[in-house]
Amino acid sequence: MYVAVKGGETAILNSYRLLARARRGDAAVPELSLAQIKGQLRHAVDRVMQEGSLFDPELAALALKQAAGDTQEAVFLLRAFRTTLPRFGYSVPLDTAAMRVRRRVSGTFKDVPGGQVLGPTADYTQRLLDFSLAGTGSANLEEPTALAEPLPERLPCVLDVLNREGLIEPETPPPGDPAPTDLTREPLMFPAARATRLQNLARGDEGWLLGLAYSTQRGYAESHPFAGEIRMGEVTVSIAPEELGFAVDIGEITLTECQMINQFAGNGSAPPQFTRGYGLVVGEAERKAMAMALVDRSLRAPELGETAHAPAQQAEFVLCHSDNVEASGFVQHLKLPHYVDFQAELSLLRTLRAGFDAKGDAQ
Amino acid sequence: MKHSTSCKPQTGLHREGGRAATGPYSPYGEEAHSDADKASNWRYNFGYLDENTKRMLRRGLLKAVAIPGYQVPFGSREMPLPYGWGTGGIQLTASLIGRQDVLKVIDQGADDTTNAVNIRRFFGRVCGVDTTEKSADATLIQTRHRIPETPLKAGQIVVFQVPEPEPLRLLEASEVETRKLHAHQEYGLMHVKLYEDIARFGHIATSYDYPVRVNGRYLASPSPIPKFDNPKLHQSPALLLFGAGREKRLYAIPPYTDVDSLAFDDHPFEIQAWDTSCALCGSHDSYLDEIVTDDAGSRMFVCSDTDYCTSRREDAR
Amino acid sequence: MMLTAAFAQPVDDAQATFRTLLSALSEPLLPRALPVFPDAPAGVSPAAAALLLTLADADTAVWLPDGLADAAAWLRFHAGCVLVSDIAVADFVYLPQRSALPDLPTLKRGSADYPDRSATLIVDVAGFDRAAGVTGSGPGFAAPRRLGIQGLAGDFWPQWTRANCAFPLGIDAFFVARDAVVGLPRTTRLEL
Repeated sequence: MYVAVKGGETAILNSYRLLARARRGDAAVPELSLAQIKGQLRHAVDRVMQEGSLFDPELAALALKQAAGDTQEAVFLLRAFRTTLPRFGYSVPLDTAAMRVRRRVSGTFKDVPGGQVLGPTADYTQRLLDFSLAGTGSANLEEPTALAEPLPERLPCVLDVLNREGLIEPETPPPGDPAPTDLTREPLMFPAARATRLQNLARGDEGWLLGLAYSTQRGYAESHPFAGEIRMGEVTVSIAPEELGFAVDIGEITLTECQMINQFAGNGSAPPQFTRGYGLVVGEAERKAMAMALVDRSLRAPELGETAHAPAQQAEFVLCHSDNVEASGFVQHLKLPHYVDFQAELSLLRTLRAGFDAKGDAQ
Repeated sequence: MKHSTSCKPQTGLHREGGRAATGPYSPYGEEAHSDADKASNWRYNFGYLDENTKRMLRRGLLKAVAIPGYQVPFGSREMPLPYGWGTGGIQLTASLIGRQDVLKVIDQGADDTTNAVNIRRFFGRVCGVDTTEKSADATLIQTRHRIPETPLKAGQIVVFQVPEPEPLRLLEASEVETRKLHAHQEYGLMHVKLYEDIARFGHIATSYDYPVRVNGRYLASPSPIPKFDNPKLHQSPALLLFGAGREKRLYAIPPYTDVDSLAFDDHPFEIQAWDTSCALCGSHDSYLDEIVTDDAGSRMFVCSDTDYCTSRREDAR
Repeated sequence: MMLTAAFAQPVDDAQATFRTLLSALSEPLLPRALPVFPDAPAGVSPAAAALLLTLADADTAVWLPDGLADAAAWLRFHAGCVLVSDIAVADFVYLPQRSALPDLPTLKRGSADYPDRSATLIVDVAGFDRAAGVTGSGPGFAAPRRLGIQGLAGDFWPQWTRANCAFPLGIDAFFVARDAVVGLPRTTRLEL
């Protein structure tokens, strides 16, 4: 006699034990500390904070440890925690011109005021596996040379500095400078303003953005981009509580900003000029900032009067599928039981099949 | 039967000024992570969500009741269960649930499927409320894919988990467009789709998530319940609430509201029927699951509603 | 000025009040007993105070008639909501007893795409009488139900009808009298 499988709860509890052991691995190997993760896996921590929409390196490191290095799972853990945090207020807009720049490069000008600053980049490392890192002994770290001249305190975007001819579109706030929506508290609605789109992209999945950005370079959008400027460094975060009436600094965060410029043939109301795409992400995340800037530009197609025929130009398509917490959950929900609906489909299919076979027999 | 909930309310400091809901919350339970518990003094609010989020959901629910079948956008939050696994239903339940509630959670009609167990455990831990498997004893029923066979009662609330709230989505991918179609009550697309089924197969080839018209106005998804359950939506004495977390929409069917499954005069709406009865309780009128019992493909049919089936067998003894 | 307290148990009291409101709106014209009565500022009934604390916060705009300065301060402090003087942008409109009836069709009624972006009235009334009054039917009515709502402004019903003549656009209301609340959504068909 058939007996319904019981014991779901027991099985779940046992899966916790198995998972905890699998996460810990060989108990003879020392356990990872959060300081190690934070200090030595900074890109992973940054990505979890970006897509988790929560700036807290300690919690991001904890999430990575708990998720055993599964970035998307760590993002999910951080997001779920974030839900329970009350909102106390909003910061004043960040001023990236006042960034304490550690890296700043431009692909459009040979030299720029302040010079090209490579900073801690892997770009020219030749990607040879470094077997000296295989051990745990402290590596012999050389002292980097200081810049010949320190960078000025304010470092305006090179595009603005070098745009004397007005051939690059100016970056101006939309009419009335409306407060941006807060996508962490309000649903995404369409049409979505550029501020909303950028917010969505900033917390969007890096892989999704990278693929879309790549598609715009391969003919799926009119895109002829140049990396006007990429900068990375620390920016001060300030809040201006209503009762104080002035801004107070509450800390600083690392940001990567990308100003991409694209050819634009002009339209009825706008002269031919370079247009911009913008990327700004938390942490050291150049790949994502660049991809974001390309996708931002391609999503501007309708407002610039370009035909939006490519996937990366369609806001609903791009923005509705950028969130990896949503995407991961829904793709994986297929492993939940669906047997009631499957039963319904099975009996429907039997009916359809009987009709099909009867027709075949009649012929 | 009431489950004993392992995490009962404790008193203590609390962010929202109310009573603390639970002790430190470890996702793996007290038995697995006592060190983490000691290290953390974080206390979650009753029902997990903060009071602002609950108020946002509550305001949305009231508008949903006022406009039956209309999809209210809401600022859905990430929950500690994945999107697509019932986060909409969980958020609705979290905004509804109180200490006096008795909660039942089912998936596929069964209380003991892993996702149902998981969601029930979640609410046991973050609310400490009583839970039950008896449909009749529950004040709140969160469900995925079924409506209980035991008739719903006045005063009960059923929360449906909804993956895709937009019944027109597979016919029109754009939200901007589907909003317009609802605004203009332009549901021709759906009628054409159903009619094409009839032309091709001789009948409508939709067996679950069968679209309904609520109060003669909004076209709505009943969630992926089999169409067998659709008649239970019509003039239900219970309040029916629908939550789609990933898609950030909620909607409602108030009690005693007309709910019509789409049909044509010459092709009336029909529900599934079996030429067998439940092998366990003998019911002729419940939704049956087909169970393969051996490698030779032998099969049996049993009730998908485990509480209904168990109760019938107990009554027969 | 002394601020009166709000809910003694903010989490539980708001939850219990909300469930009462949900039932009240789900079965219109059926009086329901409210569970909790906070201390209310001058000019606001304890029942209405419970509704406002349950529903209003920093994300909502509330309109109060002139002369409720204590209530405004109380709401700002306890709910953090935005108080607006333009009734056309209000999410919640509170009408104490004997206050002048604003022009209801000017309230926010939502749009064809988003009819939920509409106002909810909270109205203090003198009492409810099940033996007289308007008869309602529609969603939430197993059978037509009658209820007298006492102490409404004389032109309330004609104005209500005009505000709700273009479903799905419209407004919704809660009436409170002492310890009871009655819900009235825009879907209720009324025989006056």
